[in-house]
Amino acid sequence: MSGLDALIAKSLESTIRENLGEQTYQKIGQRLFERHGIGFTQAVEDFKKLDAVLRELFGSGAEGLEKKLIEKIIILEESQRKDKKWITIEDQSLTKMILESLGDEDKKNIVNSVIDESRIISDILEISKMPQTSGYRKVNSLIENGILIPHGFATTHDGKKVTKYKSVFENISIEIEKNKVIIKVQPTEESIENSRILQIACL
Amino acid sequence: MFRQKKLRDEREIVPEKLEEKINYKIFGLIFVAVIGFQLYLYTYKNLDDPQLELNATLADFMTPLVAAIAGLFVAKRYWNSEVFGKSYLALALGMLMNALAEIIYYIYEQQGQTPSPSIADLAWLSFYPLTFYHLARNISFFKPKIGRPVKALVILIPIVITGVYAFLEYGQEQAADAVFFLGLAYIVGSSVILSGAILGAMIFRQGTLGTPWLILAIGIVLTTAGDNWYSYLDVYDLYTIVHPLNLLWYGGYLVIAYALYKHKKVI
Repeated sequence: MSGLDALIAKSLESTIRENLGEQTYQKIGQRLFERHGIGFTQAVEDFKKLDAVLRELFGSGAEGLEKKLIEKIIILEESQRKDKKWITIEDQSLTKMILESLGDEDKKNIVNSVIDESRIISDILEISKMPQTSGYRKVNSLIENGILIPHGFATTHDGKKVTKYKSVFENISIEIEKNKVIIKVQPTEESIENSRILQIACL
Repeated sequence: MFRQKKLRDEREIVPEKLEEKINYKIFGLIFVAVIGFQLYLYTYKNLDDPQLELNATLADFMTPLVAAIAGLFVAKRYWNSEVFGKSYLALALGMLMNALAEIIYYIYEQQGQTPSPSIADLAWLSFYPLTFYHLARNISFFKPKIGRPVKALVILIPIVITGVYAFLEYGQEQAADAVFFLGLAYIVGSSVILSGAILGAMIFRQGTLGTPWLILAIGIVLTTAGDNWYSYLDVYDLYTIVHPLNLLWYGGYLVIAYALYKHKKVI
């Protein structure tokens, strides 16, 4: 799954609940379980299966539904350059998660170290000058939240293949308007290409 | 033992595709009920019989009320949701206004006052914006982009229906007075919601939600056909309290009630 999808998936579940109600949410969950043997959270991450169930229930209405749900989480801004799209994060829980990640000095250093280039975890920790134990914990937390995404492999001197990681964003802008924090992010080109959710949002 | 095992096996089969079939027995039951009631109305020899008027008004009141109650149940079920809760409440209120209009009309008649144009018309007409809100809320949420041919069809239906009515009514009356515009308002309202209901049924048709939307469209087609027929009869002063067009209204509301029950069952 695309890193961007993992990031958005965190909010999609609650958005479905808010818009279609608890009963519909449960009905979707029930069908996901009996048809694909997965729960809702997994299905949000495996968007094709969620899409199939939504189509089964809502017919072609699923397209609009998916687009509307995604728009409640992120808004894709029009840009002259297709590869340089800015996304405004609408969902406040997602905003909070990003702020928490970047508010932590160590996590900010980790993200900065992989913005331009993908690296293996030990290199990231070395560049960020972080101790191994807490460093691994913070890197894993960023991977879980979808801010760091796997991007290729490196081969160590003993021949082992190790995953390299890259930041899902190229640029981040934080604005404060009255009481609202507005976060705009510029995902990497490949994040956009690999994101099933963003493909739907761009329709 | 064998039977128990067989039952267990049957339960474990997960359907490849969810299906929600229309129960034609319900349609049959609605058909028999409304025909039966209409035949009962025919047993009255005198069309001015107060009992006949009361019974007909009760049926006119009860059928939209049944649909309104079904709508309120659906709205309550999804009350906290952004889309379904409000849209089904609007539909239920629309039906409730129709029921209320029947009572107001009856009271005006009993008091010897002109029942139409009156506040009853306002209640009847409010059904259209409320139902339109229900349709628009669902359609805009589930299908924000509509193809040109479908858009053309949706626009064409009300234009044709309204155009034909305006032509016939103006040809008969030769005057564009308040009665003409009131009749026109009914036609515009009913034809707009008719095309909205057809569009809704088209959007959901491949999903299980397509079945309740198809039934809802059938219900709206019946009531709209009733409204249009009434408007044309009114032009030539042919409507009576036992006119068979009542079947369309009674049947339409009961079919809408069935659609709402089906919606509750599907999602």
